[in-house]
Parts: sequence; structure tokens; C-alpha cells
Amino acid sequence: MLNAQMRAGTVDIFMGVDLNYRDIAFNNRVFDFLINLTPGVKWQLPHRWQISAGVLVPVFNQYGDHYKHVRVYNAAVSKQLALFGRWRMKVSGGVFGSERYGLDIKNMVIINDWLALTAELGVTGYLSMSSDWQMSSMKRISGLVGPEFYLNRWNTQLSLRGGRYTYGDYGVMAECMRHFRHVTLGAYASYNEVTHENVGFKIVVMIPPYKRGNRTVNFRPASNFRFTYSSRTDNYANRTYITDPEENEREGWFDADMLPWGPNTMEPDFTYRDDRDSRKREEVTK
Amino acid sequence: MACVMALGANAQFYTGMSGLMHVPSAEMEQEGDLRIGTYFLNKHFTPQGGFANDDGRYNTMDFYISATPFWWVEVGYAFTLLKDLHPGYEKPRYNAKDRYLSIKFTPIREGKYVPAVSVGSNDFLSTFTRSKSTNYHGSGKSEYFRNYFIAVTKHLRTRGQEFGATLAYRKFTGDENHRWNGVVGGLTYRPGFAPDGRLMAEWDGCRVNLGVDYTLWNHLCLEAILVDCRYFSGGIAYKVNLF
Repeated sequence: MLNAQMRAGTVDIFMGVDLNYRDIAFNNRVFDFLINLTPGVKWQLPHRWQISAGVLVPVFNQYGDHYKHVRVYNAAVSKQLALFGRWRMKVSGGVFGSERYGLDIKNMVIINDWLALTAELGVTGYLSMSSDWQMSSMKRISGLVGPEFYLNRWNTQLSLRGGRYTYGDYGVMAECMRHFRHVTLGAYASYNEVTHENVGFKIVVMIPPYKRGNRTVNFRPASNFRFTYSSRTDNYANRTYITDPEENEREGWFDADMLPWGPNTMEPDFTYRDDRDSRKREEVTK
Repeated sequence: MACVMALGANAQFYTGMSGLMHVPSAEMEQEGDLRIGTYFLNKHFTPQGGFANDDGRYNTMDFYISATPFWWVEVGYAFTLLKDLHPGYEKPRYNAKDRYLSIKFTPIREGKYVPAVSVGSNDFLSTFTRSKSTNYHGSGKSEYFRNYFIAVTKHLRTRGQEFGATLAYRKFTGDENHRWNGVVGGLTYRPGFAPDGRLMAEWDGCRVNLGVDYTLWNHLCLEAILVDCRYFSGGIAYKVNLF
């Protein structure tokens, strides 16, 4: 079945919801909420180049003035490579999530159908467009490395990653995720020099419709909704950034059809509608 | 003729996990089940040590999400509302919560002659345990629901009806909740004319609770119980299988 995630020459315009909550003692509320809309665009170019952009539009804000403005959370150019039949690489540059900008390289070396090694290296700086334009020079080096295991029989992914996180803290995280049809459930445990031990869980839900159009310009909801619970949090510990506005743990960093491994070998979440426009586009592509 | 497999677990909704009402069991939800729900906790149902202010004990609600990612493990997260008077405010209100994680392992599945066996815990990881910080209840810990248990459950089905029996041993770590410690257990009955429903009776260590649960349209789970045969508690949950 064709995977509908990547096709050269297409532009996807999408929007999702970014739900944040936090717990501050003594403010007389159970939770504070911050809800943003996340309109974004992805322009897929030939040879696995991609240009993407996304903005956060606050619609409900109990977090304070820092979060009240429309702000860019992604504006990046990326290029994916398949090397030596085993090595997947993605190079990105631009504005990333977690108010970072800079350069990022993601790698996965596939050892066999159940084992792969991942490594990410980033050189970034601070960039905030919240209340004012604030930025620092691009000096922070971060990097995470570790193995990933995939148990095909149970569609279960185990990973262990450690290294230096976005804000310079060191830590390690072990994660177990089971991939179901359109939903991934995950649990993790981590140790960090700032927050020490921590556990939590993740839920990734791929959002319908699962049949997508194959026009030059496509309008759709965001591909996924992610929910992460952490028993212990610190804004400046264990933080990573996203380089793609729809990045999630289920789909991983790379195109599913480029050296597929692990969850990429499952039935794809999104496929193309078999309509006249789609067939016409298939013929043009050929 | 006897059949041994449970038709589907429900109950112990207040934690989001499968079980009886207050007593854990060795029943499991189906592999791949995800549940999101809320529960009204009568003040006679909440643990001692919390859920009381200057006006005395109060009723509250909890909210939870739980999942059965594999047939042998169930995990859940719940938070229960706390009604406190914060500095600078005149009246107490539901303005805080007690969070906890639950886990249950079932290494032995129910067979024709063999009962299911589960071990597990609620509130096994406390936010305050490590930091030794002082929360606004002054205890430094909020492990109100912390307990460990081992449970054995066996079902018997005859003429479309299902009878279940659970025996468990559990230990609450808080001294104030020792009344729930020790051997606990209960009975369930699933009638043939309503296989999605269940009647329950249990001994939770200090009193008898009665209850009924029902699953509508395979997704909507309802439960109503009488704590100590007198005080109402109940909940509602949405359940979906992810396969």
C-alpha cells in the first residue's frame, strides 16, 4: 500500500492543536492551560528536500504574557539521504521547536530488522518571538546517541538514548512504545543531572482522515496529536527540539519509504485516495 | 459444563484499573484496551490522611487514563481533586490534585483449572518521596493511595452465566489506611441475559461494598457502588481497543 506521507512537488497545508498544561501550587487552579492552534505548511521538493513552516496561534492562555503572541515554531529546510543501503540521514537548518534555531543532523544506521543505532547532533541558539525578538548566538552543541530495538511480532519499539540535551544538561532515557493501528502508547524512564530520575508516558494518535488527496496543494488536519505526561518536569532539563512541525515518535525522523525499519514496516497510517486527481498525478509523476 | 475465561473485566474504576470496587483482582482488560474516565469518590471511599480540610472530609472526583498494552500488564494514571484553602483566598475550593501511577502484572493467566494471578500497586511512585519537600499538607508525602497487592481470581461459567471469585492480599503503606490491609476479596456475577453487566460484592478489609457495572455499546463503561452498603460512589469511562 502506498504511503501518503511524502510525494515530491506537493504542498500540504495543515492545522492541529497544541495543548499544554502545568501545575503550579497555590494559584487556586488545578491546572493552567495553554492552547495553541498550529497552522503549518510543508513543501515537498524532489530528492527528499523539504521546506516547512509552522506558527503557534494562542487561543486560550493561562501561562502569561510570554505566550500571548502568534509565534513561529518551525521554519526549516531539510534534506534526507539514504546512504550505503543502511544509513538514514536528515540534515535540517532553520527555526526549530523549543525556541531554538540552528543546524541539526539526525542519523539512523540499520544493523538488522530488529536493531538500529541512532544519533542526533545539533548546533543551536536561542530564538524567541514571544514578547520580543530575542536570540543568542548559535553556540550550544547537543547530541544524543543510542540503540533502538524493534520487536516485529508485537510492533514494539525499545530505545535507549543518552547524551547532552538542548540546554546543556546530560541525561539518559529508556523508552518502550507499542504501536497499534493509528495509536502508539509509550512509557519512559529517564535520569538527568538536573531532574534526576523521572518516569512518564506518551500517547501518539494519528488523526483522520487516513485517506488523503494527492493534489498539488492539499488541505488537511495535522497528522498527529501527541500527549506526554512527566511525573517530574523542568523547562530546562531533558529538553529536545523538533525540526519538523509534525514530528512524532510514531513516524520517527525519516520518510517511511526510505530504508523502512521498525514502525515504518507496519501498514501505513495514511494512504492516497484512489480518485481521478490522484491517478492523474500518478501519471504525471511517472 | 464450565468455561473459564472472563468475558471482560471492568470496575475498580476509581483507579482506572481492572478489579472489583475497592479490591484489586487478577482480571485484565483486553490487550490493546485504552480507557479514559472519571469517578465520583464519596468521602467514605477516600483514603485517610488526605481529602479533608477544616470543614472535615469532602467528596471528590478523580480522572484517569489507563491502558493494557500487553495481555500481561496494565498501567494507569489518575489524579484526584483536593479541596484546599490557599493563602490569600477566603474559601476552600477544588484547586489541587493528588497524582498517581498504577501498574498490574498478570504472570499467570486464567486456565481451565488454574486461576489468574496478578501482582501490582497503586501510587507506587511518589512525586514527593525523593525530594523530601514539604507539600501543603505538611507531611512531605502524598501517598494516599499507595498500596501493593497480590490477587487470585477464578471464573466459572455455566448456562451463560459467569461467577467469579477473587482473593487478594494487600498492604497500604500509610498507617492511617491500615484498615484496608490484609486479606480482602469478593464475588462477581455476570447474568446470561446481560453479559455486559456485572454484580459485585466485596470485603475491602473493614466493610462490605456492593456494586454493579455495565458496558454500553462496547465503549461506554458505567459503575455504581454502595460503600459499606450505604454511600454512593460511581464512575463513567470510555473504552476503545486500539487494534
